[in-house]
Amino acid sequence: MDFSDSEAAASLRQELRGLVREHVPGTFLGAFTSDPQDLALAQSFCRLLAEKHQLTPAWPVEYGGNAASPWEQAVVREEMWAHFEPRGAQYMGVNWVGPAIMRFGTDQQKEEHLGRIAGGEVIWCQGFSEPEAGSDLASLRTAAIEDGDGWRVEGQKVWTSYATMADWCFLLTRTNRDAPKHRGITVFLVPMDRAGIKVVPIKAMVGPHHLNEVFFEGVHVTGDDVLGEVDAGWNIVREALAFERVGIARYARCDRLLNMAPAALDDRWETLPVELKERWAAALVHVRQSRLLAYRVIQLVETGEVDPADTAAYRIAATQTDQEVAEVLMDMLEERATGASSRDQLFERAVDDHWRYAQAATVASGSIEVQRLLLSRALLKDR
Amino acid sequence: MRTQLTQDALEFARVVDIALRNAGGVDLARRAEQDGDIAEVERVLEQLGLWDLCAASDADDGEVAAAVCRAAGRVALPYPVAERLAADPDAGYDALAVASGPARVNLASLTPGLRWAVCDGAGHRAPVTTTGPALGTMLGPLVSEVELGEWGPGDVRAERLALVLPCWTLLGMMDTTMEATRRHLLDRHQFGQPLAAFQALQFRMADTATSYQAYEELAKYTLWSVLTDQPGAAVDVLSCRLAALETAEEVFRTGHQMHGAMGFCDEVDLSWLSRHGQAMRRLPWGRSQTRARLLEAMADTPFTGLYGDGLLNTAEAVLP
Ligand SMILES: Cc1cc2nc3c(=O)[nH]c(=O)nc-3n(C[C@H](O)[C@H](O)[C@H](O)COP(=O)(O)OP(=O)(O)OC[C@H]3O[C@@H](n4cnc5c(N)ncnc54)[C@H](O)[C@@H]3O)c2cc1C
Repeated sequence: MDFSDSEAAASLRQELRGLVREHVPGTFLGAFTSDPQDLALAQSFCRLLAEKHQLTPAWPVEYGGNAASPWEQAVVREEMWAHFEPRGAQYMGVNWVGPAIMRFGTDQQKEEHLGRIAGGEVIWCQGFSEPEAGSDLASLRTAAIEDGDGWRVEGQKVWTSYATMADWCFLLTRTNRDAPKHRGITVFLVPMDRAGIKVVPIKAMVGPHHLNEVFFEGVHVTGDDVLGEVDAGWNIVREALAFERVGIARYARCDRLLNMAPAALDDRWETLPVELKERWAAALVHVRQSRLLAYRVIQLVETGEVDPADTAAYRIAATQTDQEVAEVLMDMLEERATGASSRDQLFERAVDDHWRYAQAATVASGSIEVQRLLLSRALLKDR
Repeated sequence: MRTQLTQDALEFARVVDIALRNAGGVDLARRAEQDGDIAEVERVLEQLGLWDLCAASDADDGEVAAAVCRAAGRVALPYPVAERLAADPDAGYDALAVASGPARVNLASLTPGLRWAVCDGAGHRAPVTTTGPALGTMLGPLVSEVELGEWGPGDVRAERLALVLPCWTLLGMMDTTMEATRRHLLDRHQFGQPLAAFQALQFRMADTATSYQAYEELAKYTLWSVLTDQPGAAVDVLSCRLAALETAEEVFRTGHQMHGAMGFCDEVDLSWLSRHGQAMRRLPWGRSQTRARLLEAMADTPFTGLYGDGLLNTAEAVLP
């Protein structure tokens, strides 16, 4: 066994830390704030990464990647998330939209989209969830109704992250109402400026830009916009979500914040109850365990044996640890857990942000209950 | 990054598994508890050639040793496999346990021919001079009170192995408990369905399986850390023990709950694993003690992570 970074992964880590130090101010706590400067910074940082082929390192070179190993991909995920995700809203495009287009797209679609995703030039949003279709995603109702040379899309999406800033939407629609619910779903790649699309931001405790409603009224789409086959979208969704696998490296930010605590709290650290420090120590252990579960999945990816149940175990652990760490850090802030009193209380602001976002960890991208279903189904198969 | 044990280790463990199963599996523990008879166990272990392994000086042997401890744990083997594999006979002792304060040592009375020693987890070692009889209690059937000779300097690697190898034994006990529980959920029907059909039980099983997997990965990481002398190894062994105790509590609790009354019967292996696991979970330190020691150790040895390691030395651990 060898749990250390390979040489390639270690030097990539150093390079990314160097880039962050040089180009991301220490006051940056994420792209999604009320300050438009933060988003602008993320956009320019993405282009910088893209120039070095580090935005999509694992993609083939022909599509703008570096053909890097899954371990190097993990390093990018870890370093970016730990430094408050200076890639901003690139998550969707880079992690699963691009790979889905590579797998199912026409030559024209690859030509049109892959270079721009790898170049950090576009933002994608995920038009999956609907008011009536949450965990039971396949019951979605947004309809694409045949109309002239294409379809007319009517319906509503909800919780659509980044929709206000997105250029493109990976849109799930129902094209056949008579088929069983998992058939009859079609994926369209739709530009967000097409006539009939309206985005309404939802104010939420997770912060601005994360949640939106997207309305589709008579939006015209054609065969060129279809990804894969008509009515065969569910397979694409399943595969696309599998590309996500490990998803966000939440453990990396937990690790960094827990390690910052003693210095950030300064004199106050000494006066904390021993019981709280012990919770902090245990949380560090749990964070390490989450990281190792992510590595377990990556090891399986490498040997081609990964199953959704393996990813589920990682997600169950990582999302709960995210919340455990949030609670420990909030307790450590004592009265300052109710909010920073000035902009330069950076640690307080980082913890505040972490706590709020962590609340959604067990809901977003497939709730923890759905992960439990996946895992137990595999576990309790009669074999 | 290579997060799996060597093929050799896995192969060796499979052979041990089969040999122990053929020799009676958990019945070996039933027999040992009844009359202290471990002759068959000693014979099988001798044949397997375990005592040629040198975990303290050879990393490959160390991986084999851990896999073997796990296999021993799967049948709650009444023999100090981990303690022997941690020891260094050339330094004058054949079995090493961690103990402090009024010392109790598991499995010592079964092996009067071995030279036992204990270490305190802080770099000191003392020989065991007298070993009392097995307590014969429900929760410490094979535990003995021991008297110690003079404390002297210990050996760091052996001491860390003495902490981490029993964690692998406990992992083996959890393997069997998880599998037995899985099987029971499929086989036992209530309300006209297998128990496995109930979401409340599925969810609990999923959570327990997650903890168990997370612990398995940590056991591997910690073993690597010890065998390759990572700078954080001193803290890592305590982290591993803490996770072992947290996970054992969850795995055995889930196992008992899901087995219903059947799980408490001596007829079922779970009852034996659960009782025999106690000695490992309570000695030398339970969960709170281990956690307190972990925090103390962190003051001297930073906990290795992506941002607290002092290895990469480029992490910014403070915000400006
Ligand atoms: C921060 C954030 C960002 C998001 N971004 C996007 C996005 O960009 N695009 C997008 O399409 N969606 C997005 N989502 C939506 C997300 O995918 C859904 O919230 C999620 O799938 C759960 O659906 P729901 O909220 O409707 O909850 P529901 O499905 O109504 O579930 C409510 C509760 O019931 C539980 N539950 C449901 N069914 C079962 C069952 N069979 N057994 C046991 N328990 C069950 C759930 O686990 C949950 O705890 C985002 C969500 C969040 C929080």
